[in-house]
Amino acid sequence: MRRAILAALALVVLVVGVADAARTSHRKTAAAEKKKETKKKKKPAAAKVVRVADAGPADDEAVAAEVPPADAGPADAGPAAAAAAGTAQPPETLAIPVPVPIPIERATKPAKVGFKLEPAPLPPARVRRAPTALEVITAIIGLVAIVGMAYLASHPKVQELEELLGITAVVTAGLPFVLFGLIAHSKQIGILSGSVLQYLHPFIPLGLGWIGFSIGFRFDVRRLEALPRGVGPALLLTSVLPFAAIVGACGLILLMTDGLGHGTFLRDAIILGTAAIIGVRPPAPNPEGPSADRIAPLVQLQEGCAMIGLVLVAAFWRPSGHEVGWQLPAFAWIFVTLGMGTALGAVIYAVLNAFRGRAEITVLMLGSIALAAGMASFLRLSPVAVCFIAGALIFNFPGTWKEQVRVALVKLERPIYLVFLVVAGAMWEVTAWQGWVLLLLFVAGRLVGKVLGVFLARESRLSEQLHIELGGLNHEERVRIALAPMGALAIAIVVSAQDLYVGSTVSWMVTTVIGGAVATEIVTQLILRKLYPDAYAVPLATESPSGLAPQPREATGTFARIAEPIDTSRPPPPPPPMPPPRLPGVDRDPDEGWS
Amino acid sequence: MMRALLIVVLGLLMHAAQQFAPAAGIGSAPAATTLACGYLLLTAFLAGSLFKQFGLPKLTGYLAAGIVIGPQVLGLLTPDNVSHLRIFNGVAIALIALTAGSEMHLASMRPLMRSIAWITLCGVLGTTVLLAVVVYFARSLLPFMAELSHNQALTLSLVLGVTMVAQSPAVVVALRDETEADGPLIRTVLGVVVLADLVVILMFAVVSSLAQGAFGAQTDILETARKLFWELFGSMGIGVVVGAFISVYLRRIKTSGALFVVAVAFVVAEVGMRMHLDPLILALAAGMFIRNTTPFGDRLHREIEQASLPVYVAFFGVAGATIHLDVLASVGPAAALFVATRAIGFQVGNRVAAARSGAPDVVRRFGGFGLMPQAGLALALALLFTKTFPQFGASASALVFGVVALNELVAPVLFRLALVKSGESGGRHRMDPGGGPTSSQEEEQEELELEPTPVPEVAS
Repeated sequence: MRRAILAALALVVLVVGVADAARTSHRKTAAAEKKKETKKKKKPAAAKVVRVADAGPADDEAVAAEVPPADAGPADAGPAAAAAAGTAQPPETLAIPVPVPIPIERATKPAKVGFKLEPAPLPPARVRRAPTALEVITAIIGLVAIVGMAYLASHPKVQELEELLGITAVVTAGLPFVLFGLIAHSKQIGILSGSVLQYLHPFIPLGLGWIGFSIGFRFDVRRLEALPRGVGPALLLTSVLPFAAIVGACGLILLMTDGLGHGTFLRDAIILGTAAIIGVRPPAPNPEGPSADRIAPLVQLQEGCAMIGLVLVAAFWRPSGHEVGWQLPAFAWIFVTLGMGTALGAVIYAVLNAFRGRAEITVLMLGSIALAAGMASFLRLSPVAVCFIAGALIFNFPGTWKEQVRVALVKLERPIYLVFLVVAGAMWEVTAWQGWVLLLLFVAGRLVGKVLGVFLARESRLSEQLHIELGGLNHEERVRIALAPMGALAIAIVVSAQDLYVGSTVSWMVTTVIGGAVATEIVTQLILRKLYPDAYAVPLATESPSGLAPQPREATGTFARIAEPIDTSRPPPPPPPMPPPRLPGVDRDPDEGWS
Repeated sequence: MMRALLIVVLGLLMHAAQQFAPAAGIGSAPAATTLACGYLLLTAFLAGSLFKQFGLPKLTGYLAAGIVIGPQVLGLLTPDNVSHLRIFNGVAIALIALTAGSEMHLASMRPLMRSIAWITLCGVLGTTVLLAVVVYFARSLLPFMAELSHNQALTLSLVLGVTMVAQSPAVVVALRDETEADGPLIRTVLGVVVLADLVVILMFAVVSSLAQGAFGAQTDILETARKLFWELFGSMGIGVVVGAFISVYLRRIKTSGALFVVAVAFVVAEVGMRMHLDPLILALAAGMFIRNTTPFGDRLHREIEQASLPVYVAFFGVAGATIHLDVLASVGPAAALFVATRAIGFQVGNRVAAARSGAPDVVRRFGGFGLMPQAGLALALALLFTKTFPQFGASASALVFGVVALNELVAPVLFRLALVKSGESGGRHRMDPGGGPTSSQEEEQEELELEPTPVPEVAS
């Protein structure tokens, strides 16, 4: 298991290392070319003079180059401000030569010679206009319609229709709300206009952070240590192969359509590959009582891998330029992400330990996740990953408030997630054909990769050659892995990318993943119905996208007992004795399962 | 100690984020709002619990946190952050009005109606006149009144008197919830501040029209009356409809009531404001409708209790961040004079009214303190004043802001002390007949019903 994890990490590091090396090479080449140009010029390079004494006017370009960020606060935010803080400065200007920063305009031109990757352009400044009264009223009416739609969706007749069409999992993931956002943003409808979207945009980091925190809050490290032998490597194959297939196929298409330019094709391909890793179907109910789901902990492992992918992408592809503070190497940003998640997790842990009441927990969770997600997004890091780290840290430390936190997370998860989906849908551009082409590759690559991984996992010759124990999965487990749906986290990954980056390829990714989720669900259910018609049962909806809420009692999985048909000639065995009831808030006993 | 340390750590984290931050205008604004919201919620909440340990009201802690971390002091919240967070104001006011309305069971309040009416008349109207008189005679302290004629000064004094007399149902409700007070004092005070808000809105419309006439502006009395009619009676009518809508939801759907109520409060605040309705009156009417005509009054109150804490924390935190401390430096002496006048007027008027109406002794002794807190309505009227009289509205608004700032800081402490001394603090538990579960017991029951996720055992 450890070797498998190390191999996966090595593969990922290799890929991003190549990208980083290419960017470094480009920088060196650009610096060399600049030196040549400088030597050719008769006049020296312009060294702009900063007037320190009156640092402030925004229309002075030289001053603007040194003016600290507008919301930096106290006077220690920059050299100009620091110099201006000295009251002994006379009214006369004090000339300080400042090196000319690389203009952003040059960064948009493609490289001329060799394999060069230009730094990604900064996202454009978002001009914020206050929404008009009519816009707000229409937006409110639209949101009320969402509430009504959510109410109708729970109607039994509607659920029967979903089961008939086989799109229950898709609906559970909230895709109708994405579509609603898309329709509401259209010019013909105009419920969610641009200015209203700007108004609602803070929900994006909050929603991403909530999902990340909720998923991290069920990441139990102790369960991962108890994985049976052979299961881990088998599932590693089924994660790495789809990832590699999608990165290869989609990367090629992105390279052909978007060009080498900023190297974003690799970034986008990795994001798509990361979104493809996730997914395992829930198990079928066991008539003899609760059964052990051996691969359930590996869902968490897949989610952990997805978080690693997000951290790496956010670290290696960052906005650059003189307007961005703290220019750090990519690996430093990885440590910043880990450190931020850990520090915020520790703070949240300390805060939770200081309070007990349920209403207080709700306020604290709202504030904590908003703080963590906002800070991550503010620093152009992934809010999902940072909040995941914080949530995982909190869960794996002792505390009597865990059940209260879980209840608070579940209670607000669905509404926050739905509003987040509506806003995400409103920002989705469906007209780009490239996204639909990528969708086909994505669905095919994911399905082929997972099926191939499952196939290889049962090959005994491969097990002998690799000297690792494969073949630990039974038939039902292999089918659950191969025909796995995509869930809320996949959508969160691509929306996180949308939050971090700008560009046409980002909207293609949204099309790919959201459309891919629908297509995957439909295709896999068609396959299941065809291959296992007798045992097939449509999965029912769950309460929360992250899986924190309890499953409905009558939840069914992909199919009932495939490997061992039920012997109806004998009477069923008596059900196992029920465990004693636990009081709420009791800490979890690792030996006895969830409390 | 731990809470103070956490506040410091949060401040350091926020400061670090500001240092790392990219320059404004390159797309970080939504994340900045989320970050500011989270930081404000946590810091204000911790500060509130810290203040409670010292025997002070939690909401004073929320206000203090907002002041310290706001643009005026540490600058950890920028003016942009604060303006974006004002979205909580409308929701909070609507929730508070819903709460106040759901408390006003007319049948049980009938014995207090006489006291409420007299205190509104003597305490509120009397204090308005007193303030107007003091403003008129102390106009030498106010530069913007220096060159006004007698009539102009008189009418402007009336406008300022009405603006400065406005009270705050928000603070009264928040303190009542914090101290779990129940009894004739808190019920009378709540009834007075709610009724007084209606009276103040009415009076402001009238006196501002008079003042506009005195300053030579043409006023259309019919148009003013129409707007006032729409604002008051339109809000009441639509409030009844909203109340009916809420009761239908509470009847049919047994879950997620708290979130639904917050959503309704948001809609009422945002839509109502843009339709020139008064969200406070609208939500008040909705709450009163549910309490007095449906059996869901208690359930509405419980649902609001579950959802309101984050909104209140943010509301008072933002209020603190918007307190104009720089204004206090310039208008401090005049503001202190009017604060003292206001307090004296309420105390004397309350005692006279309570004696006249035969109110309980606890109302006579402590009722005046409940009228002193001040918040949103006075600020809203001050802003309206600025728009109506641009030639000196800014200076006059600064004075009102100063008065409100002092009352926001001092009055909740005094009222909390009054509730404790009156013996009504904690009265809600004592008055529970014990026949049914309390709200905290129901919460525990709900938690038990939310079974933990069954995690299958991993086969060895």
